[in-house]
Amino acid sequence: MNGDPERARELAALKRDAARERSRRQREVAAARRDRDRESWGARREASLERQHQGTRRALRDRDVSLLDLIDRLLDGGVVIHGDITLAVADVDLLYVGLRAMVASVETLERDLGVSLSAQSPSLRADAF
Amino acid sequence: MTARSRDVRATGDKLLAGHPHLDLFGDELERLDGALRRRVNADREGLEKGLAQLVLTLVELLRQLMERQALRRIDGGSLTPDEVERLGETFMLLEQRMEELKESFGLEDEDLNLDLGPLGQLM
Amino acid sequence: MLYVYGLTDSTREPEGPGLHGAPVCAFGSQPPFAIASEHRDLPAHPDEVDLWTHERVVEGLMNGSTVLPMRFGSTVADEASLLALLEERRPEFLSLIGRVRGAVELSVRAQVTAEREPTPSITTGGGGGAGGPGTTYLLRRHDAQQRADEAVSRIHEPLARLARHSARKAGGLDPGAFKAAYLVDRERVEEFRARVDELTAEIEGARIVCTGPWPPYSFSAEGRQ
Repeated sequence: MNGDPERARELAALKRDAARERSRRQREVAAARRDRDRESWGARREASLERQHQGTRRALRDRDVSLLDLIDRLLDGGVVIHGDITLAVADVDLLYVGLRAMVASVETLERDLGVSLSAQSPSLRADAF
Repeated sequence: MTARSRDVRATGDKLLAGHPHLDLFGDELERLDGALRRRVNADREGLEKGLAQLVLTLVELLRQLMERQALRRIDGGSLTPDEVERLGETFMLLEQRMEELKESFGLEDEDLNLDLGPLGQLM
Repeated sequence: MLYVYGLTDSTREPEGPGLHGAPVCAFGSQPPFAIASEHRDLPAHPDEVDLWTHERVVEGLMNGSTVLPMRFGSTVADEASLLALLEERRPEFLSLIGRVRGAVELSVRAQVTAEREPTPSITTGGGGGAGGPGTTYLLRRHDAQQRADEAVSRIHEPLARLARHSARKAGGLDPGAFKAAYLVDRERVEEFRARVDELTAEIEGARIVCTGPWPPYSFSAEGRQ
């Protein structure tokens, strides 16, 4: 067992340098990819979807399409009553309900008030609300 | 229309026009394969990656919202050239930082489009 | 508990069966009537069959009357609470039923592609060193957004003209993605369908898909167009 503190410090420094080098290389790779991808966001999106579905290579059936649109309607639309929704939205999903509502309300708020919600904005004053 | 054909009508074939291209539905295919059945990511690595996914998705979401806000203000002509330049640089840096974070967590763009189960995709 | 499928203005006996084979009946003594089935309990997680069952019941009702479909999973404790609910929100429900009478919902999804981003055409005006990388970045994004918005309009506008109402959905933050619902008179469905086909052919690089006819899920609440 090597108890030499000097040696331990050396090793720690080496590890740090290696990590830094790794990060630097990763950033380079990312930058190159960014430049390449900036060509067209449409192409990038398509490439992303291709990667995503490489494992599930099956044709999109009419039935799938119908089911997706059905789900959209059944779960996002229709009359909402204040009775119990027992075919649930589990508790965990309520977190996402909140997120979704937040996103929608930020956009609506910005649009309706015509203000920027960025911290730097002069239009966001303490007395604005 | 007979009762039987009504049933068939209501069970599966609602396509009226156009072709179901993958990229119209790609983000939502998760719903078909997983949302109706609960998938629980029980392993630790999956959990950590799931957390990173959630956090980065939120950051990405906010970044895009703010960027759109900036674009609207450019439209409205309420920004000076210096402000435009500063904002643009900030967004570029943010985008760069996001790329780095995604790289280090091993996440791709498609990983950041969270499937919220019955509530659809976040983005 | 009672599982509710929709609200209608007709006393016609609804066709069943409903979820898990339960019989479906109409509740109420005046419009709007509620169509529901009774259950001891219901499993927490629905499957595809349950979704289509709900849909089949609602669509069955559409054939003879006007239906306001319920959101999936809507239940009430018992008949008394159901009747109380109908009483409490009668004006709202009747108004909504009137708004959708004689029409169906058609769903449209589209993806428009962006060409290679050209150099920005907008300048931020004279004076100062404002032409830096940040400015270029933002103006490129601005142009892309604008072109996407225009492309989407070329699809949405003509279709909205054929509909009574339209409801544009949050298509996500991808500016080229478009999702909307249209409330279309039954007699105009064919015309709408044909227009979708035309637009697909007319617009370069556009992918459009239309499904329907659906019950008016997207037009069943105040605040939605």
